[in-house]
Amino acid sequence: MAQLRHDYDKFLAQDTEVIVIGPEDEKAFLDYWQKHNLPFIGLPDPTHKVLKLYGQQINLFKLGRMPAQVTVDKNGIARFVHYGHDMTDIPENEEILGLLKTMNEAEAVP
Amino acid sequence: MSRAELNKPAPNFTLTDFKGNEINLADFQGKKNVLLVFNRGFL
Repeated sequence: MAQLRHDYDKFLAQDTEVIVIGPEDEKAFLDYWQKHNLPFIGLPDPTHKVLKLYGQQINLFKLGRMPAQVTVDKNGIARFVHYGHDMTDIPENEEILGLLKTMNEAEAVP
Repeated sequence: MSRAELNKPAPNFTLTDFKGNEINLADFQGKKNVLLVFNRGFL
């Protein structure tokens, strides 16, 4: 999460909003966001509504494949899923930023 | 890190953020890319 905050400006520069979804409640999100001064959108999902939706519809969450990050382009298409190697691993932003840049450039072509 | 290519529509959802704003994924369409981060937990 600290890494995401660190690179947030780079995501903005790629026309990209960062949305974090987690199983905690509103209060836990608020506390965490204030404590760490996080700039992105935080969505509490205590009933796992979205987690289940993504698990079912795009077969996203296999056991032990968390955290996961999904890159969605401007047409609403899920382009890539990035998996961490283990629970503590955060996928490297540079690779995702590279993909976003490529996606944006592809869209800019007439 | 491993990655999987999908090229499928991202399932739409609406959730309320911790500030009380309604966030609808489809609202970003045509405007911004979105990086959805599914977090297992903060602790």
